[in-house]
Amino acid sequence: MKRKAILYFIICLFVGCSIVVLTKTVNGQHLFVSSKVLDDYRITIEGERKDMENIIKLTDESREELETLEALTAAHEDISREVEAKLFQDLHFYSLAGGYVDAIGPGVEVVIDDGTRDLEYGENPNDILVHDLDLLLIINELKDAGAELISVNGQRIVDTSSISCSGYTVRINGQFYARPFVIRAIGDGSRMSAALIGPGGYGTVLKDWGLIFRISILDDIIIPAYVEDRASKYMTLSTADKVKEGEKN
Amino acid sequence: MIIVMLIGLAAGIFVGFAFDVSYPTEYSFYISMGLLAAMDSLLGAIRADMEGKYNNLIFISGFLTNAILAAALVYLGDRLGLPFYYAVILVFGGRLFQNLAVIRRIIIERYLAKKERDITN
Repeated sequence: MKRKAILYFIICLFVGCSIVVLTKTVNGQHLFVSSKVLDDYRITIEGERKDMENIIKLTDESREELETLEALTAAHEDISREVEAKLFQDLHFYSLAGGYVDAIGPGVEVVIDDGTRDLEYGENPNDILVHDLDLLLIINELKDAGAELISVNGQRIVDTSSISCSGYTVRINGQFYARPFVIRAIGDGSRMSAALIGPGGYGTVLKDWGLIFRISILDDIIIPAYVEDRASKYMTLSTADKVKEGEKN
Repeated sequence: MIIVMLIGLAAGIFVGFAFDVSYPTEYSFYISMGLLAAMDSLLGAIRADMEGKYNNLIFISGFLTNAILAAALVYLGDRLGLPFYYAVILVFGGRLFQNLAVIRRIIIERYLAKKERDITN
């Protein structure tokens, strides 16, 4: 009898306690968190952590570089050779990134062409044509997947590049191009192709519409230099005292 | 017995409010399932008590195995992406009502029997 009372007491204690705890935390909301959502959060957190590690590594490297240079100046040694090497390295990088020289490297080649399927009755032919927006979306996906250099039909995509519609052709960097379109990108080939042809990737969407979409991972993608006019008229270098307080973001 | 239970409930509510217990939200379902299992065991025990078949060992082992199975089903459902916890809710919820119905019947029968006795006396 006594043991029974104790058991009843314990179970009732548990019931009361868990009711209070649940109502306090759940707050009337349904809080079933599926494992997929948890997984997504985990991946996001891991990505952020990796980003932080990268930034810490970058700052460490810069600090080391600064320290070596400072040590050299403190020792009154001639550092012009090191500075020159560093400048040439920078020049090499900026001429590549800015599109002033031809580049070669591993990457992907995407070929998009108008669809050849029969149209449904009353269907808009635009459904199976390649548009400027398709090219823009693919370029954006490629950049998102880590592309370093991109060209479309041999036109290097640089900071001032534009892609616009002009009837049955597409205008890239001011030049007119007709189908088929060949997008080449230097970067991690498997990652870029996975971004485009994975489930929900834009390549899959285009294929479902009936367009021709091919992607191949190649070892030696050649991306030519930017050859169009690049004169600038309006921009000038901003110095620190010209920027007003609080305007730097 | 009712007094013991009321004291237990009050103590549980007090403990819940007094100690700021927090847990990861992903475990809220496990706690809910534990709560259901506890309520089911409690009603089952009261019913067995009234039927005169009560046994301490059956009570506590029933509570533990039910709670463990419920937690295992919730975990499995979580892994597979299937709402297995429906099974737990349905079974425990159904049993709650069933046990309550039996308890009600027993109480009414006792009441009627007492009335009968009073009339005959």
